[in-house]
Amino acid sequence: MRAALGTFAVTLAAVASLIGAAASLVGLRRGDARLIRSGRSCVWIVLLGAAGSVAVMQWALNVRDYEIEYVAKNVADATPRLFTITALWGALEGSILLWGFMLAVFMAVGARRFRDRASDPLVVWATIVQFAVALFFFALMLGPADPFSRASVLVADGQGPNALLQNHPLMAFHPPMLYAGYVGFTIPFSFAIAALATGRFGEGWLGDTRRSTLIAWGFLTAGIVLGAWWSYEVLGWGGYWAWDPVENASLMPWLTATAFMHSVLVQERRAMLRVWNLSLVIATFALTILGTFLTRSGVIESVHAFSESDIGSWLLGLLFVVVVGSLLLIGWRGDALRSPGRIDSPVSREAAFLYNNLLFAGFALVVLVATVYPLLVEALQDRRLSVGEPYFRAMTTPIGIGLLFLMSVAPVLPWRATSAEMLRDRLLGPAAVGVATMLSVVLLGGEGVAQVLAFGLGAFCVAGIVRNYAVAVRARTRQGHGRLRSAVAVVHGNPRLWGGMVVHVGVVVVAVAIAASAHYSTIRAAQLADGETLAIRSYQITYEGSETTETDQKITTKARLRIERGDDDLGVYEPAISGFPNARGAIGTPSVRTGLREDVYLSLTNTENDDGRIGVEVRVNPLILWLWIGGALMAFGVVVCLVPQRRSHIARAVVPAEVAV
Amino acid sequence: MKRGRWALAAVVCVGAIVFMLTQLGANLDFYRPVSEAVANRDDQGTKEFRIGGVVKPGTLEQAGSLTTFDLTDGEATVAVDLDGTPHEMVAQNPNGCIPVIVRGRWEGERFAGRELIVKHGSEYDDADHPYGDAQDELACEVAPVAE
Repeated sequence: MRAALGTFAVTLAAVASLIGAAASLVGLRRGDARLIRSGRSCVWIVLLGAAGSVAVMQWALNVRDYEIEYVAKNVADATPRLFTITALWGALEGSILLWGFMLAVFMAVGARRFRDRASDPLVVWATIVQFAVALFFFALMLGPADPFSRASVLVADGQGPNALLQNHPLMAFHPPMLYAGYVGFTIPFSFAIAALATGRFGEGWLGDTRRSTLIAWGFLTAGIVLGAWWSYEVLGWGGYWAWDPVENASLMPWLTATAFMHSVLVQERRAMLRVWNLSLVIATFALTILGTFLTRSGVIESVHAFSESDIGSWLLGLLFVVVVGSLLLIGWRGDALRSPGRIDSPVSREAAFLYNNLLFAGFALVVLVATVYPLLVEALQDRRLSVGEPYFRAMTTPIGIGLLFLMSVAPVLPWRATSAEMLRDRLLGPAAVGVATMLSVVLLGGEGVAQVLAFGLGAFCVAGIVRNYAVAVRARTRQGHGRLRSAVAVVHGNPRLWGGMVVHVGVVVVAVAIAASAHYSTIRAAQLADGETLAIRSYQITYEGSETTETDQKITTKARLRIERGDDDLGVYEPAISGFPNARGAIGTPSVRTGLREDVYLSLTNTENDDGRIGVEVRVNPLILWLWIGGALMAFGVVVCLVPQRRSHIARAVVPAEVAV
Repeated sequence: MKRGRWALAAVVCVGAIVFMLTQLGANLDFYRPVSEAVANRDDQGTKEFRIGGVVKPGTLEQAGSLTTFDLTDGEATVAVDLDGTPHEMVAQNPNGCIPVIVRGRWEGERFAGRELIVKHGSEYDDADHPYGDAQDELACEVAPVAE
């Protein structure tokens, strides 16, 4: 019954997408506003169907309806409530369901926002593209990725989620955030295609998609950071990023989207880079599809797994249509796309944005090549290989340093041209802070050119932002406003600029944390008997016995490890190993003593063996906490950007020309 | 002036791409199942690569920081000296035929490993297991670990 209901809801959404697209298209051709309106209202039926299908799946998961294969495979009687809910995105079919629902939500929000421009061809074309994408995903659910397919054999108890996916509450937040980011880019993509279709590739569509791009970018950023956090807290190898194809799949669209968010400013201000911006939006969307293909078709496990299901060919087909279709559209518009503006000086705001874009595009290319190349080699030569971490380090370190430098310099560069005095005036102070930081890092024993540069440029950048802010606040205070009120009013006068600067500070914090944790970590492993101690840096780790607990979900053995530094008792931490009835072998759960300066990261490699010894691995990882703090700052910056701008003559007048975007 | 700038940009771009391809070529990690690795032993020399198989039941031994075990894919078997402790999945279930990948190089007939990675499939379906046939012959204990 539930299976039938679910399939009905998916069918409803698919049919409504089809009718919506057709009605909008025909309405547009005939100039029939009523038909266009009916097409638009199909959005609500799509939303209804998508929400219904997710609700039915949650219902089925919670009542353990093992008649549905997805339920039988992804929950068991003993699965706790939280991981029953998260089972919706624990495997392919369910995550496509969530994907469809989120797309429907984005479409509905768009439909509401543009309700006064319902028959504006730009909006209608964007809606048609959104319906088409929605149709693709709902059809996928009716075809090769059917979440409601019936189980061939009725089982008494389900298999339960993958052991790694029922081990940490972060699982509840990371995938939905990531998907919201992926799906959100459908909106700017649809407007980019609409701009090409209508020939209105001026600056209008940028304004229309500013908020949705920001929101999608914010979700994607949060999703990536949470994924790194999950990896750190759950997988027990002490790191947070492994340049794994699945991770790369989420990073690539983030890189092109970040490039887009910067180059948009150039087009808004100087009407340049039109083709480039369209290409970045299309590339971002195409990369989200490529990422879904990589992570969901099984090609990473083996190129030959590709033929086991049709999902891979469907996604590859969509990718082909998106890329070729967009290229044809851009080619067709050809000359009309030529921008009126020109870059006057290599040292100007617009030039800095151009360098920024080259670096981000280069970064994306570096990751793309290393992600796709092994697949091509395997497909063509039947040799299996992967690209090692040193490649990524060698390529991304200089790019990262370059981006940090641009972040320090670009925000104070004026548009069009600059003079040496102006540069000296605005950059000398922050640069001095940067140099002083580098010197202190070296004096404190910091090694590694890239690391020292990252610290120094980070300080340079933050000092520059603080200086700009102080200048803006002072200018306002001089007009007789209170200092605190001025500080708020400055942000209110240009939330996009200052939100962006908060994001920059977040990026600096993340960059510094990456540099420190990649270079200054220590690791030690030992076999410890009860009462024995392992020393690492200034810490002593003492084993104080183990304890095993058993639930229906899992059997967990925890080792009690006391951490001390000198005479300070820092408490007992309990890394664990769990056995799950549905998994071979065991899953370790690290235990981390988080600190502002450094983490002590404990993982258990074996429970007591015949000699009564446990295996422990201890890592001291500096500044890791700042990765998550930086991520939170970036998300907060996006929220600031979304604050509506307060337009008053006074506010605009006092924003110094140098910092106005 | 204009032309000089374009030439400079072109040189920088070409240089960056050449650098990328060189780095890519220098950092390729080949992966070979045990039988394929054994067949290629002479060509491989002492270059590092990743070897894949399952830990043969009953062969895992730990002495200090050195772990030794036999790695097999059902067709061929290789003795591995791993510098370090094995992943908890293997250590806890040495008879479980856990699929692993070891990074390292040949030292004569033995394989000197410096890193062991456990392959996490996204689903625990034995039919998908790459060494499905070998498991029966090896008498793997697929049952989960219990204390």
